[in-house]
Amino acid sequence: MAPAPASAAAPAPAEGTDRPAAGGRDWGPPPRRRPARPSRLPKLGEDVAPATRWALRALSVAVPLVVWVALSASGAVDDTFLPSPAAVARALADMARSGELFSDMASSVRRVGLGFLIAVAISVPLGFAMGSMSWAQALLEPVIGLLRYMPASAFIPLLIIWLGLGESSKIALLVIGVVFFNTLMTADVVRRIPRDLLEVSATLGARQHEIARKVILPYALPGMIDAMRVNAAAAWNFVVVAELVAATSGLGYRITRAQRFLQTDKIFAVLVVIGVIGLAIDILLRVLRDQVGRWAP
Amino acid sequence: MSDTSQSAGGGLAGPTGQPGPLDQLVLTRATEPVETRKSAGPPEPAAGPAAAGGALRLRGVGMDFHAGRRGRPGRPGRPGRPGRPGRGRGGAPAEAAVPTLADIDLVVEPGEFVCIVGASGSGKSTLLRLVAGLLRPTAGEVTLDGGPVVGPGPERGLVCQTGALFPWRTAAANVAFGLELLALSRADRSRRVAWLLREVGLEPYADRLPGQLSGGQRQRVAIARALACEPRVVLLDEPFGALDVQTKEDMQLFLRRVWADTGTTVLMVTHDVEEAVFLGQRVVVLASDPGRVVADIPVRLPGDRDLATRRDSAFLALRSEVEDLVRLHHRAHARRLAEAAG
Ligand SMILES: Nc1ncnc2c1ncn2[C@@H]1O[C@H](COP(=O)(O)OP(=O)(O)OP(=O)(O)O)[C@@H](O)[C@H]1O
Ligand SMILES: [Mg+2]
Repeated sequence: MAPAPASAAAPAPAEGTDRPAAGGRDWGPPPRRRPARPSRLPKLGEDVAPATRWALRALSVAVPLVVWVALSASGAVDDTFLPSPAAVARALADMARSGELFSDMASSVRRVGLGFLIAVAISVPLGFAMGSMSWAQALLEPVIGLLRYMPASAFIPLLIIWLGLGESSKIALLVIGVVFFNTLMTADVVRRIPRDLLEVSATLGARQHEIARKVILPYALPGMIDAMRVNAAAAWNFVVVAELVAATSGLGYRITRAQRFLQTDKIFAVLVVIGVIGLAIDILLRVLRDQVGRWAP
Repeated sequence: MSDTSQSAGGGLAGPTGQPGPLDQLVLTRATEPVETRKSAGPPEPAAGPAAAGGALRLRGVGMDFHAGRRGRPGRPGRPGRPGRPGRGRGGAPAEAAVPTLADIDLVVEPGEFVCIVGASGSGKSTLLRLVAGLLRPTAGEVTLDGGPVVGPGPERGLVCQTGALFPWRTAAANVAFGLELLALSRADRSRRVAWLLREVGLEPYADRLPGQLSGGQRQRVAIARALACEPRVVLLDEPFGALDVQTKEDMQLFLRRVWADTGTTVLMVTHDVEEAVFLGQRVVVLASDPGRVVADIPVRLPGDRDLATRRDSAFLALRSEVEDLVRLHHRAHARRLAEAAG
């Protein structure tokens, strides 16, 4: 150890204090920082007032809308490239009146619903097994980790060769796009269960299957729904991709049709519909999560 | 609901086939108020049919951990598959074995209250986890009423320092967990849960989630949950370590009362010597490296202890004696560590 300065090395307490000598410390006091300036911004992790929160939420939608209105009204951008909000609303109303909007929505939602359900039905048990049993993890993680990096869209040609142009290839694309991510995310959630909960359940007499059902499942459920929320957005993306490539109905199909006739207002209208439906699904799942996970902070 | 009407139905038969202690517990409660055990000093043998406690025996128990195994300390064996730390047999050669407990001989009589004290790292928790069946000893054996302990089970209830409550279950549902696994009618179950909640003084909080309870309340729920299956042994690992002095005092009195009410065997780990002497009928002192029993001191104090007991000269003398012992072994261990470090 480096020789300490005489003052610090003195074994006797400093004069006038009964503080013991610092044993072997040969450094000075740590530097001081000036106190932080008082700030009126909310602190990290602090909640803002509900009124502020709602105002910010409104702003988050209003600002892009205003920019859009201003851009199209100023005439800086050609209407063919950026239709005005009014034109988009008109296109939307037209599509609603002719009924094609609703039939397109129905076929897209049906595809998402079916494909997502299949993906969840596969990925939740797999993820649960991977998260709770290390042998399942060892068996599945390499292959799923690999498959996850293959872009689902790149499977489209293959799927068309394998399954043709019908519904099944679109649903298969959706499943491929969602299932691997959802499996890994579910496994991560399940793996986070505190060890002492597992141990204490065992000492209360729970068998393995009871621990899985009565401890791991309720613990992981909110997190699993969170994973589903993330992946529902992906599913919604993939259905539109599938319909862009080959379809005779659906919102993606409507976009390709509109593109052929340069109807950008229609494209915009469909995009808005897609966004709103996605948001609705997200809110639905969030409400479900908040119901299920009331205990979780 | 009338508690006295009928209580023996749907009785919980122990693994040995005898009627379980639950019925007696319900009867005791129905017929007589809180009864304090009169025993002092060395434990009496099982006092007739009312004694629900089991006899715990550790014979030559040793436990080695394996340093740096897969970089995941604290994971030797999952709950369902205790033991097998270090893959000692066959396979890859195990890393250097660190003897954590060596040659532990300990007998806990039915209905006895034994406290284990020792310095941090002396292996108290490890000892308790061995008894709970969460770890399997590398040497020797643990038996409960003559039968070997091979895994965790409801006849050995565990309360750990954090409480480990199920955060999604209310206090009542936490207490009910073990009972839900048994063939009990819903009415029977809720009666038992209600009794336990009353016993731990948490009736008004039955529907609260653990996140809405204080530390002491959580700990009481954990104790009630462990008691629900009427274990023959209750294992407590520093259950009051995180509580303030006042709450701790209340909890200690509460634990004595529960012990008296249920007649179960209690093995409790604590680093608080005063607590150990106040609660236990015997105090076992562990020394570190390897963890071993260096003293087993009977506490000759009256059976019904209260706060005045803590000022009793016999109590104070005993407390100092145990403290000195713990300190002595702690210093010796520190000296050995310093010498080993050069
Ligand atoms: N899973 C494990 N793997 C490796 N070593 C372990 C493991 N668990 C405990 N140990 C070691 O065994 C020794 C005893 O640990 P234990 O937790 O039983 O101590 P303790 O007496 O309960 O201490 P404290 O009072 O701090 O809780 C310690 O040195 C610890 O580092
Ligand atoms: Mg411990």
